[in-house]
Amino acid sequence: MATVVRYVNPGSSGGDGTTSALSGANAAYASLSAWEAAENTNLDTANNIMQVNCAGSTADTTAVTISGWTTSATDYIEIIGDWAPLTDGKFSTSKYRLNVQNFTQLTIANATAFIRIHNLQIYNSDINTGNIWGILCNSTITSGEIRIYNNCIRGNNNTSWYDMGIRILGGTATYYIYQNWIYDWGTTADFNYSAIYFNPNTIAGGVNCYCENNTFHNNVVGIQRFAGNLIAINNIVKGSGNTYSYVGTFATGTDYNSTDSTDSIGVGSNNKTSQTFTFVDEANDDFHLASTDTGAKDSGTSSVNGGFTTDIDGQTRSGTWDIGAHEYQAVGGGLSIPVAMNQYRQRWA
Amino acid sequence: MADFLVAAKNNWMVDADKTGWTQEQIDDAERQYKIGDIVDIFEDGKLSDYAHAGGKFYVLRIKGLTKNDAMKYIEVEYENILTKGVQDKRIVRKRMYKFRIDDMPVLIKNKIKTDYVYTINWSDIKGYCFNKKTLLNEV
Repeated sequence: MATVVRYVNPGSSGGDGTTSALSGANAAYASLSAWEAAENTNLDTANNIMQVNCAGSTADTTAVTISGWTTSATDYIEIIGDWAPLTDGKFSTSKYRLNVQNFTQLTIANATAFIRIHNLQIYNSDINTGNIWGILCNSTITSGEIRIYNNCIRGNNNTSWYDMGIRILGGTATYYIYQNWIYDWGTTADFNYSAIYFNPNTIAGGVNCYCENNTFHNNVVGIQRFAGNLIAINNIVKGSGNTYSYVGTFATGTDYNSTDSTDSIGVGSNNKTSQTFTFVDEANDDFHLASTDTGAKDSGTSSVNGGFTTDIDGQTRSGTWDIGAHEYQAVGGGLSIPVAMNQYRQRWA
Repeated sequence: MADFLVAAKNNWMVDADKTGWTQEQIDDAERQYKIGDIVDIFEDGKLSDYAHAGGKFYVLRIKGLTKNDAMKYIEVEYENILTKGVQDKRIVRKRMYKFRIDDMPVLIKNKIKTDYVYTINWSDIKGYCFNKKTLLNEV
């Protein structure tokens, strides 16, 4: 088994994607869409992992559809962004981001979908067009394992209907959605806006979605389950209100979720309601936990299904895990690492 | 002017031996990129001559058309369906528009296929820009 490494940078003048250079024959692809079209292959037969590294400060404005690949559990696609929340602090315009107007940003439509997406920034900046989803797991998916983790998936308080951070409609696959920041999806109190929406088109054989340690902020609906088994563990849901923080019936195993609302998730004995969350810079969408937080710190469980042991920053989780994407890390002077990094940036900028 | 990135090769599924494939797999192959499909569109002068990525794309520099006006040519073709009573969109084809490269005048076609990079006026090529849903060329 080999790993094929390719590069995408919207600042590139286009090349064969084999290096991160911005010009020349071996330059990075100029869009993720170009990479997808150029490299599309049968990974299973080739016995390869396809790893694509996305970088650069120029927005990638072309919608991406992943389909027409053959993948397997060992021969999968891995899309890696350069977003590093530990040092970037929040959504960063100096890092790679999908920012498509009027379209769903990234669609996974592969029949066999063994795909991992992490450290990617996705931003729906459009506010007038409905049916815009950050990541759509299309109903053409029939099998696979999709891992979406450590991403920043940002809406724009869209006023049109039917906008969602992650919308899962695929069939018999397993979905691991963990340690993402998903925020600002929708404005109107309606089920058709949601941070995450799970409605697989078939539930034969059981279709599981493990939604773990995410931070959902200021979305109309936090976590919405329409069909299949959605197991929600260690999630923060803030700003979705007393009716829409959790929608639907959740599967056994759901527990340790925390919300500022009075909405009960209905399964598990360690969930928390009416909590106060304190983030490092909530007004500017930095959802790292502050040292003074009481709603999420040391309130979670390490019994997760995603197999992760580090947080969204890549820092090792320890002790009683925190709820949400970030594990508070105390450093000298009682500052969390993100606060310390922010002070460092301010001092040396 | 806008830079078009156009598929110079079919997706591997399109040309694969489909013996033993299910109808679902055959349908899946139909959705994929085929030669001439417009993959991406960039601002004028964005792409270098190397953007053909070793012959995987044609780079068409088209005069008389802005990127904004051209963006519709990378539309995905969806169909609206209901999934358990809920509105859903299913991909019919990855791209609704293609250039009919093989139907272009021989000199142009040969130049595109040889060099992978070509500059042309929109008025000279739009008649070969084909909508796969309506089965009509642009006029």
